[in-house]
Amino acid sequence: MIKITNLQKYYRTEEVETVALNNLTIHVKEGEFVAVMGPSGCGKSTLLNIVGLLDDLDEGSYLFNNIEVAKFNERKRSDLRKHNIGFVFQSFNLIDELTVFENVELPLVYTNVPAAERKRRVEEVLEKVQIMHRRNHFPQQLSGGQQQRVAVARAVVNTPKLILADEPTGNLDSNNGNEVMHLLTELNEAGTTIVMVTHSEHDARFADRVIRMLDGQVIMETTTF
Amino acid sequence: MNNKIKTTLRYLWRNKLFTALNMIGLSIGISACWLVFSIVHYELSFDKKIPDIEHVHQIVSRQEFEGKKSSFAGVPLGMAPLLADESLDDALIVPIYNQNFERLSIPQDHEEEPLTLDEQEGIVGTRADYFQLLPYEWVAGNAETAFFQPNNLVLTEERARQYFPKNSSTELLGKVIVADTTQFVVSGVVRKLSFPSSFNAQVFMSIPDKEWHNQNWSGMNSNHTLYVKTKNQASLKRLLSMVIQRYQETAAKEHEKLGAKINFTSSPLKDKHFEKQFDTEGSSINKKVLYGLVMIGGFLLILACINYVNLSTSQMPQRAKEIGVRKTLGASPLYLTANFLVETLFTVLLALLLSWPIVELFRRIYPEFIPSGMEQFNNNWIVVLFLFILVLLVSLLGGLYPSYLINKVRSIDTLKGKIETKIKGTRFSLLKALIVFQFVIAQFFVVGALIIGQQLDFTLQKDLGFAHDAIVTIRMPYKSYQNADVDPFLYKQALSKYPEIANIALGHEPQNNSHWGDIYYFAADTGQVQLHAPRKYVDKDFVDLYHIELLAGRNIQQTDTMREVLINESTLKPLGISSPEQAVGHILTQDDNKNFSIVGVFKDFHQKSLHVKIEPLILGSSNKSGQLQTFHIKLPNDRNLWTKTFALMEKEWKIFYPNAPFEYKFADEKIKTLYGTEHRTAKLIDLATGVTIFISCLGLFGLATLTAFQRTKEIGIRKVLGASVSGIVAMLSKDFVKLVFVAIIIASPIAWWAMNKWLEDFAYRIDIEWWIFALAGFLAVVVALLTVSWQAVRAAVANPVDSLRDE
Repeated sequence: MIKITNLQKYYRTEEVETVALNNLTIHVKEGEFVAVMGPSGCGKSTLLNIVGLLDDLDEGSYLFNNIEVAKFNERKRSDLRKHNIGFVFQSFNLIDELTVFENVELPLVYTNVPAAERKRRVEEVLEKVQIMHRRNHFPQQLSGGQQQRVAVARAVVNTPKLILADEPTGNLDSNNGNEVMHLLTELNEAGTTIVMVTHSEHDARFADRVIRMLDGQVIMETTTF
Repeated sequence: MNNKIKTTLRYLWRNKLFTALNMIGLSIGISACWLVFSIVHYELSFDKKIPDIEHVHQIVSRQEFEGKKSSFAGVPLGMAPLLADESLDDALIVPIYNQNFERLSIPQDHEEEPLTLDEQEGIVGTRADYFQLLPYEWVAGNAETAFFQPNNLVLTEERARQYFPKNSSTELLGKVIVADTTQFVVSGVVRKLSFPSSFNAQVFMSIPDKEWHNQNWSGMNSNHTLYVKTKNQASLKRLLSMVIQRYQETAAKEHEKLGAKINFTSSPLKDKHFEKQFDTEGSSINKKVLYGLVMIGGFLLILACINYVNLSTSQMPQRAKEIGVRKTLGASPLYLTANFLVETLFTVLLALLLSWPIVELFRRIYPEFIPSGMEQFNNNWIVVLFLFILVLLVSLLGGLYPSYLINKVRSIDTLKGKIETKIKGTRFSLLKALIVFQFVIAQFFVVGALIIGQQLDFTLQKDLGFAHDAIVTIRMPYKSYQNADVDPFLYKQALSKYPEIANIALGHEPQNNSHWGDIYYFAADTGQVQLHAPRKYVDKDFVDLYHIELLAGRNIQQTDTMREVLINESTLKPLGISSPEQAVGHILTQDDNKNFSIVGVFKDFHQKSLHVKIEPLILGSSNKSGQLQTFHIKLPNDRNLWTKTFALMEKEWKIFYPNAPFEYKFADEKIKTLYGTEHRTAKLIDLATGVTIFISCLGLFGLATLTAFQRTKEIGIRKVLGASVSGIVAMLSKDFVKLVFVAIIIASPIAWWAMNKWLEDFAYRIDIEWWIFALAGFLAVVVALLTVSWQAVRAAVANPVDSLRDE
């Protein structure tokens, strides 16, 4: 599904150029659950952003479902993204002005799904993450675990082929964290590909494969069973 | 769409403070545009609905006298009959002659008392052509029969209702109106013109014979105007050349002897409303004033839009996360732009709601700035259309830049908790420049308001050279039916017997423009001197009542004809006399060999407003009411006695002048009216000061918010390292005060220069002192600090743990 080859990514300021990702090659197969680990600043979030088409790459090739997307412009990337990729963030990134229902509904609005269909799908996914009873609440009225469940619901409502999770349990206690990990596992078992950045060895154990990075390079890949 | 509206309202509600600030700021700009549009639209629509207006011309004269050129709308009486006799088929000749009657007496039905009305305005003599020129709608009668009989008269519906309150307009044909001694018969009723117009007469009659057959070409008077309508340029030329030729044959030589050259020409009616020199009704307006208004409206609107942009931009970092999430989830740039524009549109609509009461309030508080006839011709649809366009325009102007910034936000930065530094960085200097600019204007107005206020206090408090406290004046009746022929000294005598009346005198008011003007000759040591000096008629108690100080000689004695005069100090110099004492006993001579002996010299007092220097003045005695004009009554020092005194005055008044109203005015109030324009200016400047300070504060508030946000981390670190709250507030405020200081430095010389110009109109004026600028600066700094401190304190007391954890 994802074939990244010889990826180079630089960050430039006025005086210095820093290499964020150096000659990186990663392949992810459809239906796989991959965890990316490594110390702060090793480039794992940058990688995730590139995989999620939020950031562009300086050199190298990125095939998404066998389509070369490295040179896509913003509009094309946005198009590809909203139909294929769901995001879960450490800080949830729910919109404060919208209710739980409206937050989850948002990706469907942007993909022009009709209102009745939206309602059905949002309610279905809210049931699935067991937050239906809170559908009319605002994010601040929820606990961290509940917020992350809403975020997961929002990520999957469009039935994306790929979910990218950036430290999804980073802001949660272990109970809530486990709940979210089980959710992700369920999704994976249902066929969704997941790439997750994490610091937690415990969370990484839920993945099929762990990629370890240091200074913008992959230093080790292990398979967990 | 529904979802968008809901979230927009939710967002606006959540940010109540900013929404309110945005609303108020925008409503000021919208209100200004609303008012300006109403006024400008009204002024521009003048006369526009007169059919074929491009073919209508007013005959006017261009004059040259002692090298000065001027234009005048009055025409000699001989002109209209000359042109009418020519009876060109393709030209309408419309003379309009104002008619004045002391009293209309209007018999009513059913033996009721006749209605009497004094000094009715809006009565004109004209020809039937008038009704072909202007599109009147006839309620009764018609244009052809309107002036069938010489004593026929046409009323507007409004006047018809006033004159015959019990009858409907259609019943009025044949009704009688007696104007002074002439009887008129109503031959028609018309609706008032349905559009703003220079033609505002309400009663129309034939031109009286004595005016129509008058062949005078030498005198011109603004009561007599003439219009010609013709599609044929040649006809107009021909008529004009006839006029010029006849004038050359008659009055031209006489005028040339006096040094005046006069030429007649035509002026297009469509420009009339903007030609002050041809305005005989006082309704014209200078186009520059309209341009000025449009500029002020546009200026305030732009300031309001810029403020909106500033405040929205200052909110941008807080919104960056939301925008980033939306982008990540696939919102297109178009969608985000539309979203923000809808939000702006909502704010603008709320501002529009708010500007309704603001506009109404302005109309109530400042009626003098609204053209008097505007309310009658309110065209609501045009205003609504304008406001609709204005709302769209403001939404675009205010919303586009923030939308652009929104689209510039890179989602990955915001999601990582980083704030788009570009937003802050590039806009910062622009924002600062704008704040300085706003404060320069505010500072300018503050200084202006202070100085104008001071000068106006000065005009009221300055020693004018005569006492004006507790003095009331009453105009002597001057109409025949008001017993104008009663000797005014009888009323004076009647009042003098009451101990409550401290003093009573007759004569011109000491400080106004009414006086007789004359040329006097004086035999000085160096030969004969010619003296131009105004003369005020007074009686012997005048000098005493007004505490006018005599420097030499004695007061005048009451005589039947003027024999003795008093002169002021300023008269000495042109006469070549060095001291007051020397002047006493000298003789002033007039053209007709009348001699007046100077019996005394009085200390200069201000006989006109403080705009002009004190000039020579002569006080002479008279006993004629036509010359004395006014009663001056000094009230007792004890204010408790005033009510009783007024009652006595009125009681006696009713005895001598039963048909004249008893109306008195305080001398103090009359002095104030000399500075009407200045008081109006002051009112407007005060308003401008308030508005500009407010707008400046909005801008400053936006900047403060942005700064507080931008420096959150710095503040956190400083606090961790031990900085106090007050220290941080001071640090944050210092930068803003610096901006205000820059504004003060720029504004002060400009304000000083402009106010000096303004004060130059006064011969007697205050000095502009340094402390005015200091005070204005101090005020600006205080206002700025109050504005900034809220955000500064909020930033300073914030828990550093929160701000540092973000990173």
